[in-house]
Amino acid sequence: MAVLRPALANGRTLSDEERKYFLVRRAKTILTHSVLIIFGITFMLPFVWMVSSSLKPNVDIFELPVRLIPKTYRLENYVDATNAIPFWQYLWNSTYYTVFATIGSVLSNTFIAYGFSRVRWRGRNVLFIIVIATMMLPFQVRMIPLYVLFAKLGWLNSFLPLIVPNFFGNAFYIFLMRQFMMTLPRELDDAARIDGASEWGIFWRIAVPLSKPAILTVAIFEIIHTWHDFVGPLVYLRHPTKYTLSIGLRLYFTQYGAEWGLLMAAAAMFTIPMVIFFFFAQRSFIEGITLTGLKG
Amino acid sequence: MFKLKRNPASQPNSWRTDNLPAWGLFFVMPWIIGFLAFTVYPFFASLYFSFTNFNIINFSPRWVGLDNYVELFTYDPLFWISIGNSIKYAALLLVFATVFDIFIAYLLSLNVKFLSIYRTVFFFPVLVPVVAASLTWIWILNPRFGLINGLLDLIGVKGPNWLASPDTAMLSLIFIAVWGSGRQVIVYLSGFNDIPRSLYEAADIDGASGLQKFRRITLPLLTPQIFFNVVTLIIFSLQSFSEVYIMTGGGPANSTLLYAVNLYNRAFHDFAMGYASALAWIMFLLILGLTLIIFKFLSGKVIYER
Amino acid sequence: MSEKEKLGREQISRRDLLKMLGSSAAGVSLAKVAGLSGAATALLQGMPAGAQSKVEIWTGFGQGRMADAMTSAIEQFAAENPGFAPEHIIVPWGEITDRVLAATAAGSPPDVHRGWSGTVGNAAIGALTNLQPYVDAQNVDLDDFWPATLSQMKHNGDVHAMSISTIVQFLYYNKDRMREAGLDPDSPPSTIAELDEQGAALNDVADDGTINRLGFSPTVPGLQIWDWGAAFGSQYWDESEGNIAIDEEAMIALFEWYKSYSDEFGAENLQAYASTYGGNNFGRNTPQGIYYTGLITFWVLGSWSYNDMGEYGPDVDFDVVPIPQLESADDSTPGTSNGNMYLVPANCANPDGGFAFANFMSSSPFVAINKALPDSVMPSRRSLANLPEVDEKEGGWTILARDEILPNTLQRPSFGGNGFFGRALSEGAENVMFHGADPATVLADAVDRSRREVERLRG
Repeated sequence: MAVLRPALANGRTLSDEERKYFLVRRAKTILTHSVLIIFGITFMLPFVWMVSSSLKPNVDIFELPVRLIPKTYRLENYVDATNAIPFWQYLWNSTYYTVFATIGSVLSNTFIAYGFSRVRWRGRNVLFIIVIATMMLPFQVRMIPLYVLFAKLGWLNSFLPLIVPNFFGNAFYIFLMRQFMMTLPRELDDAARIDGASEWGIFWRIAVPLSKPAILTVAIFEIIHTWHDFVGPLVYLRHPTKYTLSIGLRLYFTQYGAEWGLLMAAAAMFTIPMVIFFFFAQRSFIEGITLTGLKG
Repeated sequence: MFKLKRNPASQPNSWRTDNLPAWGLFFVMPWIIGFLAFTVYPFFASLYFSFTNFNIINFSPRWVGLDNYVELFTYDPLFWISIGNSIKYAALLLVFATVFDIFIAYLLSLNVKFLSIYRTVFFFPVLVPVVAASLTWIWILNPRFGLINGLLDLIGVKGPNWLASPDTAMLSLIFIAVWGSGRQVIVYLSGFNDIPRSLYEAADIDGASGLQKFRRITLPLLTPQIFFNVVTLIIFSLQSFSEVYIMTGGGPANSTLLYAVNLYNRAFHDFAMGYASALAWIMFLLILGLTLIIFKFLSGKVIYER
Repeated sequence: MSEKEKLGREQISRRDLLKMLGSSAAGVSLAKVAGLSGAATALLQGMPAGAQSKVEIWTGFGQGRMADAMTSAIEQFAAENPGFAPEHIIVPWGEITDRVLAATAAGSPPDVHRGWSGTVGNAAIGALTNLQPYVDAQNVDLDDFWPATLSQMKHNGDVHAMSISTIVQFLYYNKDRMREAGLDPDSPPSTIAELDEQGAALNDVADDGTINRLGFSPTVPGLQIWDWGAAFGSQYWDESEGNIAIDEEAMIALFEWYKSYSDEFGAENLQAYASTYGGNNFGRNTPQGIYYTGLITFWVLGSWSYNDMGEYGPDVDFDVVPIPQLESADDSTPGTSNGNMYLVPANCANPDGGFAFANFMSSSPFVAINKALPDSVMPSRRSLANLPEVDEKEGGWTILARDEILPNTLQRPSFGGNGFFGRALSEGAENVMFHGADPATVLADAVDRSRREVERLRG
């Protein structure tokens, strides 16, 4: 984007008008930063408070006046938190669910979106409108019959109800990948066809490599979604050994009450993988979101 | 729900004139199977269940006709309370989140330094798992020892009771949802960045005021992002469940009993699956209706061409 | 489309991420598939004859001394019953009933689980194994149980649960605080009027309405509707009609009593005071909890809280008496009794093992002494409640519970739909307190709705 910035390299002095312009500009910059900093701090405070509480001994948790910086540090909260509940088991379960749901989403949606974007066939657009329409069907409508279905299939004691549907596409991801694939140059397909490539060959050797940004976006979205998912595990994971961290965190609410120090330590440990993941793939994250909100 | 626009790159002339659906169907087959199993079947099964008294333990739906619907409309006070709460929640969240997110995105679009840091900060809440965030918020909003009232206490102000009061519980939840709306900030930011600077420069030459520029240039060119965010926000906020279920469970005095929470309680707490299916169907019709209304009124106003 | 060009460049350079994800996932998938199929074959082959049969036990005892007591009880069971291999699984408190129900619907319930008298109501939808045949076959002496508890164990005349212990309600009072206020700690309130009066003398409320210390409020720690309703002389269930029945006058009086407190303090301030200390649990596990710091003088809780006082508030000079009575009510009872139950879900893998464990928990003197008493609850069998260890228990709460309260309490509802009924009553009371609703109207509404629920559950 072009920015208005008069060149001063020639050493020309500023006119009064120009000086006023820069003064106003600076004032505006300071104001902008102040507002952003105030809101920014507000936005980070919950996380700071989470970490701060996770380091406090239980005695200091109920203390006034509140302290952001703990008086005494109790790092053992983190050790205790992993011992109080089967933390590692739940972490593993969350990871397992996330990995397989993501694999399913990436495979199926790439495949399906190709059929909706690069292959032309009668009825395609009608079907695509149905795809989009399914987005309006709330999870709650499907929840009960699917519960019955999965119960009859004997799946409720496993991750299958959570993972298997991911292998059959998701309207939002199909939409997103279709949008992307539509923009890829057609000439590549045509050239490949002239060379005698099959539709499958075009998909695998041209569409997939070129769609990697969109594939990565879907992967990122799905990783966040499954890592955070609460309703799915709440409804379908019935055996305590199968809990994900989303459900398992509630075990810190014991018969006696909440162990806030341990709970906050566990919450922090639950959050940190996402933070690391974010810094690893920050650019793709932001651009993926941009992509979804782009020119419908 | 999104405008189907023919992309210039996909005009028929550059297409192979192969109208046989075989390959197309081959590729979309997984979706069709999934659609039949995970959408069509539940859709109709749910409709059927909604006319039954359904005991999940021995899978014996007993036909009761319209009883569930009659009960729901004429008798169950929680149905109307939860509809009212959900609409209030969605409407207020829509207003607050849209205004706040556009405001922040606007500030970020002013070519500020440290953009990536700010952007990370405002996006950060999205990264905190909903359970971890909700449990932390319970603790932050503790009327006495929580962070917010603790800080207010330092300056001698008695903070509100947040989640403990029917007057402020709903607002607290909306406030938390705005906190978690970083995705929208990013979408609006991309919208701001896509507006050509030349338009503003031209307006400057014409002597337009800041407000005029905002109304005549910024707002119209931001409509695609606004439209997208409004539609998704409405659909998702009407289905909101996890945060509320964890933080208030619908209380105090049912002041935050959202529709989805009531539905879950009826389905998986009381195991009134037939009744809950009727609730789910009403929810579907409600969302469908609202979405259609939004499309009718908003989609015509969206400006796609740049 | 500059956005997308940028996107393309960026992400292709990050090909490695996807590769890493893919390869690690493939490894995981192979390992898991192998593990899954292994488990499936084991299940299909079933139990080899003569080997131990697994008994899966779900409880909420995850941490602390109650978890230790549970572990020792399970070890004792395993030692006494070599044919069974118990496996203890911990489920979040407060979710255990829902989760067992859902697992039952899913066809994978535990063989036995911990519940309460209210859980027996799940028999109404066929979620529990009828234990009557087991009881008959093994000649279990049912008359040994407290009559109130025995009737809670039954659904439609058949036993559906084995009770380990029975909770009665106490009025706890902080003697130090009473002394400070010039009250005689040796004559705690025995009537509602005295309770109101003594409690009022001990409140400390700031100008802005914040409650700093509370003498007494029937809404803190919770509404305890079942117990206060009993104290006001109401019933909940009419056995002859087989339906919900309350004493309307008594319940209206109760709701008005709640209202008098919310009017005085402000419903919100009471709610805030309660939730300050940890939501619905009031930070019971921390020494900062309201009971242990003298922030409340009179409160009603189950006998199970008695030993928590010793653990978390060792310096608090407190004692317990039966719940005060309403003098004007003829049928006033000292709260309700609530049986701690072990229940066997329908269609579980090993109902024999489930019953064996439930029966062991309800009949073993080892459990009574090492589990029930440390949890400060009374064994549900009168023979166990009369063991010398019970009389020797410190504090005298055992004798009070056994001889004065248990014979007189009303049993807490255990019919199908009791949970709904309790929720409807609480919602009604909240409506009265927060929104000034008319007690008679909300009560009629709650009863009406709950009766429908009872009907619905009957199918």
